[in-house]
Amino acid sequence: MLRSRTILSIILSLAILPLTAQSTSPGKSLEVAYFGQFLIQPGLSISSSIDVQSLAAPGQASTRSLFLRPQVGYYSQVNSHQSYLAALDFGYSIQKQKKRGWAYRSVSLGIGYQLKSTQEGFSVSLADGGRSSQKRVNTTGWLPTVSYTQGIPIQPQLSGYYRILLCQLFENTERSSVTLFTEIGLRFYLK
Amino acid sequence: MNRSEFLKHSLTMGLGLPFLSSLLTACDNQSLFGTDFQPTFKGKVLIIGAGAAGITAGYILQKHNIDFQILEANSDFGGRVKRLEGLADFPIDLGGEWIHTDPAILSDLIADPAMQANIDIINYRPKTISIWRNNKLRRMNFASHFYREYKFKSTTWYGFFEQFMVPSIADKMEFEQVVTNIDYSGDQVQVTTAAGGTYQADRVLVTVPIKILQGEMINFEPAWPQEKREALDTIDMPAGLKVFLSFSERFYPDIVMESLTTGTEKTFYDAAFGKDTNDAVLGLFTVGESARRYTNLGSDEKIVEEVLNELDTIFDGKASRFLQEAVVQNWSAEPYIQGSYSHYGSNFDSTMQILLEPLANKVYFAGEALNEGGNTSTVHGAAESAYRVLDRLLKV
Repeated sequence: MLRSRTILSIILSLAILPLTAQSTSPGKSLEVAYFGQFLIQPGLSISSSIDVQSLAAPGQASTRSLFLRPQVGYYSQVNSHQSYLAALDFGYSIQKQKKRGWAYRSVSLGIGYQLKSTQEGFSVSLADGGRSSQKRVNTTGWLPTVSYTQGIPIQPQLSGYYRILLCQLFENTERSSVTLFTEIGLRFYLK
Repeated sequence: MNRSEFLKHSLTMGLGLPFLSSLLTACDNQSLFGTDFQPTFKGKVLIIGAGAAGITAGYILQKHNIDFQILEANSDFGGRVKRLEGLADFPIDLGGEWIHTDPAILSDLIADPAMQANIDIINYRPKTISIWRNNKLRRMNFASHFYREYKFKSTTWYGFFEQFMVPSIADKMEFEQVVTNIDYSGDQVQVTTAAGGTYQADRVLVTVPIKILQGEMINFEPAWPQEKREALDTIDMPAGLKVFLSFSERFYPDIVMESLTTGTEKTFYDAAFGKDTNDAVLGLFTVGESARRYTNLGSDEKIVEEVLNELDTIFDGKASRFLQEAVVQNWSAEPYIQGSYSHYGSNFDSTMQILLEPLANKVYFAGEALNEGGNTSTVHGAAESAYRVLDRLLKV
């Protein structure tokens, strides 16, 4: 438990530090989203998108940029597992100014690290059906990801977005598995 | 679509169920477990069959001080709940194995708040899943994210009934009593066995497998109404087989299936998954046409030989190399079972209502195939069917 809290603290620091340190730089945003494995295993994600290079050409209506996106996330399945992950993405984004704000699309590649606490067993009381003596096992794994994001304008400083992340979870050689995350959230522009 | 129709039209029975277990649990109708029956009935009940439904019915009647007796054709209780000991250092379910719902159902089934006991449960989520198709073993571990099921950790369904229900009704069970005739034409119901024994009761609760009724191994006087007979014949109870093989080394993933989608009637699975053991035991679970292919081989030895050949093909000869012992449970060959479990056609609700209709308000029916709440094909559903039918019977 101590280990998981330590890892979570480090992950949160990594995600938040870039925001506080570069809050005056352009093309920066904070994203808060519902984050679910296969959409149905619910969780929460906080990420920050930081433009590292503008690729805009004169005369183009849209803005193109390369960005970095640190992210922390949590998702769970009731009575099964709780998982924490941290990821860093590098991607390409096309943004377009609309009347109400920014619309955008982006693709990115990333690498994540996941800590998963799985409930492997428990005792059930024959008196009342209650659960006790839950046996939990922690596992970790690397998580290379490829993702696609579509954002829609809401206000000048706010967009809604959905993101699909296709991942290969490497718990170990035998237990690697493909998985899919979906994010539905809000992007707050910090500039 | 009710649950049984859902099962029928969805891909998998048995091991395939876990992929859908969360959804299935959500489909459960309100459970009658723990119902306070407040019975108005005061006579004697004769229960035919000591499987999950028969045991549960006896347990309920005992709690309500209703006179009853259980007649079982086999030499042991359990029916399609059966235990294998000795193959490994943990007991193995030769029949019903998974808990296809929230394990709190075990408490509901006991319905005794004073019961001071806990049961260890495995949160059954296999991590390594492979598909054997076109002579290739393909890793499909992504399916593990959808897999959710429960199993007993150190006991079995048989052990559960043995420890918590049977002790209170053991003296009411008679074994090797093969019922051949039920005459409900008089005020009392008269039951006759193959050995010539006769029993009388005010009510009879028939809990035998549907196949026994379809085969008319029990004669009813008067005969069943035609509508009931026709409804009975619409239910399929296909062949069923389980094989357990112990190995000196584990060389297989948690699950090997033939398909994740359609026709998954055959699955190899790590029977030791989640158990406190280092023993390597691989199970084969199969129903329907796939099972018939094995049962048609004629002997357990030939079945084991066939299974080993398949495993050797999949795992490069490791099965034969590491094999220690094999046990076959051919449910189709059990004379008083004759198959796996019920598969309904499209008219679940109407068929169920017809089949559950008692004969002259004297002969009632329960069991794995007769759960109007939709929990057919499961052990807890069989037990629940006893609660449901007794709720009617005891208020007559």
